[in-house]
Amino acid sequence: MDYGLHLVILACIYLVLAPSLNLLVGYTGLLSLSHAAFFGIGAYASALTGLRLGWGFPGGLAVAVVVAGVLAALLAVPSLRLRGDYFILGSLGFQVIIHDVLYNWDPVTNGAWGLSDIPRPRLGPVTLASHGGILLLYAPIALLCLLLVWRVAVSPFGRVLTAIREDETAATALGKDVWGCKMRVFVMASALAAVGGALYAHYVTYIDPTTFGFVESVYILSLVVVGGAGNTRGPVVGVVVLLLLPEAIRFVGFPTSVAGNLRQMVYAAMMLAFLLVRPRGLAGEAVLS
Amino acid sequence: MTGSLLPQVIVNGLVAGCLFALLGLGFGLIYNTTQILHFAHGIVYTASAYVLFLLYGRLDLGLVPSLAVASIAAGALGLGIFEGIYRPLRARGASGLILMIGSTAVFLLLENLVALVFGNDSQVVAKGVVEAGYQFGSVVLTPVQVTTLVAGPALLAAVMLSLKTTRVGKALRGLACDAFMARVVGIPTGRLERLVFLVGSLLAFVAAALVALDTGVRPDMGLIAVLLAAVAVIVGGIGNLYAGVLGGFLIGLAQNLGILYFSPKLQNMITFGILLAFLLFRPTGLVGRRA
Repeated sequence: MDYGLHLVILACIYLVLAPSLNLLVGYTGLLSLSHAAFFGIGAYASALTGLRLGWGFPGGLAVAVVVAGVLAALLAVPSLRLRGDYFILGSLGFQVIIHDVLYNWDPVTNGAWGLSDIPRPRLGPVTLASHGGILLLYAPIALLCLLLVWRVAVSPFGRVLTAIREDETAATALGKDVWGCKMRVFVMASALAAVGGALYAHYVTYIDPTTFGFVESVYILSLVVVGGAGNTRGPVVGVVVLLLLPEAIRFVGFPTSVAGNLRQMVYAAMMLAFLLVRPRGLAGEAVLS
Repeated sequence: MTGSLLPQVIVNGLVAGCLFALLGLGFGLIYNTTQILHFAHGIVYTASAYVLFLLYGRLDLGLVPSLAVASIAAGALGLGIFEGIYRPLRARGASGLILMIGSTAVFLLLENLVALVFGNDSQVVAKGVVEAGYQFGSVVLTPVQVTTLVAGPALLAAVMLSLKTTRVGKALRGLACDAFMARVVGIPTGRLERLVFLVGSLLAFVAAALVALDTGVRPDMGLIAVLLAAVAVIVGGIGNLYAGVLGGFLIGLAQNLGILYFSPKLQNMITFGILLAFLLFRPTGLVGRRA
């Protein structure tokens, strides 16, 4: 029962990460490989406010969102003005830098040792320590984030994003502020990734830089590609399918030394297979073709 | 103190520059002629290094045959990725976004395959006792580093010269300049694209072999390699086939000077700081043509 709750909590976290990446990749056509970096920024920011300042969960969440948003804006300025290719490389470079910072900035992030004993989510006097309690808090947050992404997607702003994906020149010719929209969606998506980070940190209570590397960025991307990009239900399907799959692999009894590599291979292979055979993914729109 | 280390650091920077230039030239060749951001270039690098490790390090075959076989493996892999992934996707009208996702998937898939077969830790390829390096004044170099400084520029010069003088080279430059017109004029673009992937992969292999013999192999060595290649190309400039070489040397020197004057931990940040600076202020790079 507890294990089932654990899976649902993880699903909540990834239901914040995948749809927000979908806003970038599926709706706007911006391939960001730095989503895990913002995931990590949110996790560390929130964890540090709890550990060093003794703040509760809402405070940590707010700090996570603000820090991620500011950094996203700073990254966006050089990368978004130019072609998509530059943005991809810029985001990848940012991912590597953040991973390096988390790994090397020992006085703040504790470097390779990571941060342990992160407090469970505390709302004022109440600390949610049990799986059930955490789920009671995380599920509404995940649903709220999902709702936010959906509202953005169906709004006029969302339609401009789709226009940018389809034909950036035409969108500019029609007088749309393409750069401004890209910037706004990038900041929003990155801030949401940070929310996921805060949720993750206070649930798992130990974080280290390895969780937030390039591999994780690709994993979140695979959730979007396999589940389906371009609409709201695609990433949800992706989370449900690709989160349950490793659990099935787990029970086949592979040794731990190869399990990690096999897991990554499965995601990469699935992503490749879907790209070649069914670019719209399981439940997405035909935007990746 | 810093002054006495400067010559060593500069030479180290040149050695690194040779490697990055090889990577940048290969990656840049592919990108400028096919418009494909061949992220999987990194796994061609890694896989060929591991083939060398298997043949020379594990099976104790001779160095020259191992290098030969590994280079063939590199070319075959690079070509295979082009034929098996990029061409089918492109034939279906896939955008650059899709190709990049596909490239990333291939990269991760093969990197984990390598890790599965050889383990996740780094391995040493070089054999024999570790000897003192050669001394040139205040500078010390390992034999592999000396090889790099000799073979690197030689190979780079050879490729750049053929690009400039041979018919194939001119056709490639035409393709890089305007792919559509190249086809109109009757240049066999399909064959040239295959050639470019072959040559690019071989260049990556040379860098990989030098690194493998100097410091060993690790499954994730390809990620930073392809990133450096991309940064070298952007800093050098898009639109110019040789720009990757220039960018490579710049990054190599900048990284090593940075290690001396700042800290070794900041290596990657220096590289990407330079990238971001160029993206902000000079997106055409040093000698590039288009933005």
